[in-house]
Amino acid sequence: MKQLLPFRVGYENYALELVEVQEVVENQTIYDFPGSPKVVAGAIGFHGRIVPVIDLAVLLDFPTGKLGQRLIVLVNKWGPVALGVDQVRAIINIEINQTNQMQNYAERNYIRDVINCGGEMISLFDLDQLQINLESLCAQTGG
Amino acid sequence: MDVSKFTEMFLVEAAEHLQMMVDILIQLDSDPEDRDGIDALFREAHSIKGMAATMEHAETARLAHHLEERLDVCRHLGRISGVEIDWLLEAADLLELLLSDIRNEQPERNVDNFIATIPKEGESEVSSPVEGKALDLTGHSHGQLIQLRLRETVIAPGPRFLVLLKRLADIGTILESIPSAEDLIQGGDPDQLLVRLESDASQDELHQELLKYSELQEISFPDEKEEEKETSLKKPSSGKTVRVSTELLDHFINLTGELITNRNQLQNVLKERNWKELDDGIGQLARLVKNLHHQVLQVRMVSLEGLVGRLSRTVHDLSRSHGKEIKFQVEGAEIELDRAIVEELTDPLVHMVRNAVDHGIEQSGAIFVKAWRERDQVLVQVADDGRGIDPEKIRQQALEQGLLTQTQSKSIRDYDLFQMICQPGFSTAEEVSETSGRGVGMDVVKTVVEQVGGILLIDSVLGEGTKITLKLPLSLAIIRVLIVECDGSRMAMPITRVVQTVEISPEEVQSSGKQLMVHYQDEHLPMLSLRKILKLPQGAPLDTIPLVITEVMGRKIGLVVDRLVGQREVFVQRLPAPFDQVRGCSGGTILGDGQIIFLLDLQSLFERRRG
Amino acid sequence: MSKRVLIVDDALFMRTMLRDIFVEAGWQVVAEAENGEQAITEYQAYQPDLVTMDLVMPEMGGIDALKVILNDDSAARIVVCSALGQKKMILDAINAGAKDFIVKPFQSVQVLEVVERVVMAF
Repeated sequence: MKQLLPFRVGYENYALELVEVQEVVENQTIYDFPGSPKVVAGAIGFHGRIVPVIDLAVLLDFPTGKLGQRLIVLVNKWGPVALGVDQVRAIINIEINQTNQMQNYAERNYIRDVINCGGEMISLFDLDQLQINLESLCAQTGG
Repeated sequence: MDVSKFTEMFLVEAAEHLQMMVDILIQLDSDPEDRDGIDALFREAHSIKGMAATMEHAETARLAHHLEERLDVCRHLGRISGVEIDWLLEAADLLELLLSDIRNEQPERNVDNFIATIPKEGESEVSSPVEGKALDLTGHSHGQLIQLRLRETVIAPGPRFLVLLKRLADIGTILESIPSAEDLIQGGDPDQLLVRLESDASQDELHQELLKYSELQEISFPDEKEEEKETSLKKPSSGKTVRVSTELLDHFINLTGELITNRNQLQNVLKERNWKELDDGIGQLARLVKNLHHQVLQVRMVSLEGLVGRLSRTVHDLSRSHGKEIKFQVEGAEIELDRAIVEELTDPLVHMVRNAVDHGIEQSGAIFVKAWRERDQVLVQVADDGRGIDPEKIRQQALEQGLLTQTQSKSIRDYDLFQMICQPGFSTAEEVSETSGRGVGMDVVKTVVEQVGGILLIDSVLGEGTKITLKLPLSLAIIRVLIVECDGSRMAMPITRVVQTVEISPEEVQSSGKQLMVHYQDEHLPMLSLRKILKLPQGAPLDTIPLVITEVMGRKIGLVVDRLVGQREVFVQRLPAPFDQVRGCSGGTILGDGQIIFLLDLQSLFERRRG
Repeated sequence: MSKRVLIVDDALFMRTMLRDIFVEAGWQVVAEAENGEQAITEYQAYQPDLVTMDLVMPEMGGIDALKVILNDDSAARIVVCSALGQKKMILDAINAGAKDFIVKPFQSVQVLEVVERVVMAF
């Protein structure tokens, strides 16, 4: 049994495993981060620390909206870093098995797996890939 | 006896004794009949032996024991030979390796082979018994220790622990907890909770109660000994120890007292709504906080003495192996700098000294290391009276590598030419280093210096010598910055990198080709727009143009910003990886009102612009 | 005798869901309230064994209501309900005297575990 935190970016449903999430924060001021790659929308102050914010809409090529309404702060293993999303939905408990796993669809970027959750397709967001790509994006700045 | 909790203390103290040994050895090298020096050396070895034996580090103790014996012989003879000094220096290196074995929790390396190389001048079989002081480990704590861990899936660990802590407080009296309730209310999300509880309830009853919390993954009642192991294991090995004088601690206590008085005063003022006194109270608070800040900084400050010890060791070793005769002079070793900066600087300075020995001084000469304060900066200078740098050689090399055009090479000043040896790739060619009189790796030195917010200046006269000066901020964590505004957002740069701020009128702007220039103190400086550099939209024309005169790539420039906001002292945070790689930004700070301000790294911004 | 509970939440949906959970477990739901002020009135009227208190509500919020109730009856057992991401509020509530908390969305077993242990605690 897994606990997933589903969220929306653009017109797609994504989800993270709840264990990867530290906190969901709302209505934060995002400060400009000079020199950062485009996917970095800026940074927020989170418990006295500077936490960079990744704009998932930019990363995933969706039209960008008003950022800062909903931010998912990831556990420290990944950062600290926050993901800006359009909407956060209620946690779901789900047993992932062959009947609802639709791996063939998981070929797009940043998607680890696609799960059929009662008829609704939810893409499991791939944090490993995000981390690898962020490393190269940050190292390339100014190139 | 469990001595593991003293390991950190042992390592710190042993390293200090070791450093003292090296310093004394270097002094003895020029005065081998200094009896006081030999006595002191003997005492240092003896201290290391005693500590190592107590801690049951057998190999370290054995080596120290042999040093002590050898030195005892020297003590009786009243002199020490060059062979012995070299041997003892090697022994010091080996001791350092042994300490790092202990630090890394590895078995100590064997010292048999080294001991076999002991110089035979006189025979001595005086064996002194290894003495160890008994250390008292019995604490006088009471109460029941409870250790709790949550399941990974628990949603809000901090609040969950707080609920548990409150529940335990209902059952008994909490003598101590890590983290404390206050820490938890501040919003921490720890992975475990350690509580010392005094309660009439038995361990079994407590366990039963805690079992009602299915959020708990682990409930344990560690006994004291295990707890010590646990907490000492939890401590990150990189945790650095700072020694604080009791005098400084007294200052802290006095300040705390004053702050409490001040708080009471402010609370009264608030009750009485006496605004005049509020003003006084806040003025008082500002003074106290400033004082506290100053004192806290003191704790982080260390002198350059340890570093200078290493430098004299480098000169000693190198001049011996190169057969050169070099005098080493130090001035201002007592100057203090932030611990972090001193640590970062150690390798670059060793490198600079090495260069001076290898390439600066030909057969004999002197190397001077000098440190001094200038306002809130510290200057550290490495100078030699060697052959100096030949600007012509650099000019040629730069032309060949295409770093300069023919025209540029004619107009460039020597000062700017010297800076070129710090360009990556420029000084890496060994033959260039030999002929130009400077060694490899100056680019690395410069990078480190700039990372800590400093600048590097090179001055050299052919045939007379070379001076390399580092201008450094006093503290890395808390620095003074200039805040500027650009396209609606605020950013900062370390004040150490700002020459001056000025406001000019548009009429003062001149142009040279495409480049806008400004006249500043007999120089024409290129004007560059921060908006352009950061790829921000162009701003509306201004009546007065705010300029930050700063130095990048060894050149002064006028940086155009939207607004000069002001100076202030800030606590700089490094950014988490991989964001620390972002060029143009070297950290950030959160101001009192929650505003985040990033620190501009001008140097890398310009490299980026060129690239 | 069955335990008596007061449910406070501005959303009818949440109240209904909680009511079902409690009733199925044999509790008696003595009243429901949809804001803080109502909660205070109902608490005084029924003196229930337990209150589930939503934190964010119109008019008077959960933390204020909690403080008033505890001020009158320091033995009141209040469990707060919050959404994900309201950690600060939960901390404030616990600090103000809430006995435990539930994070929405929840499952009935979680709710029952929390409320049972709060009511059973001496």
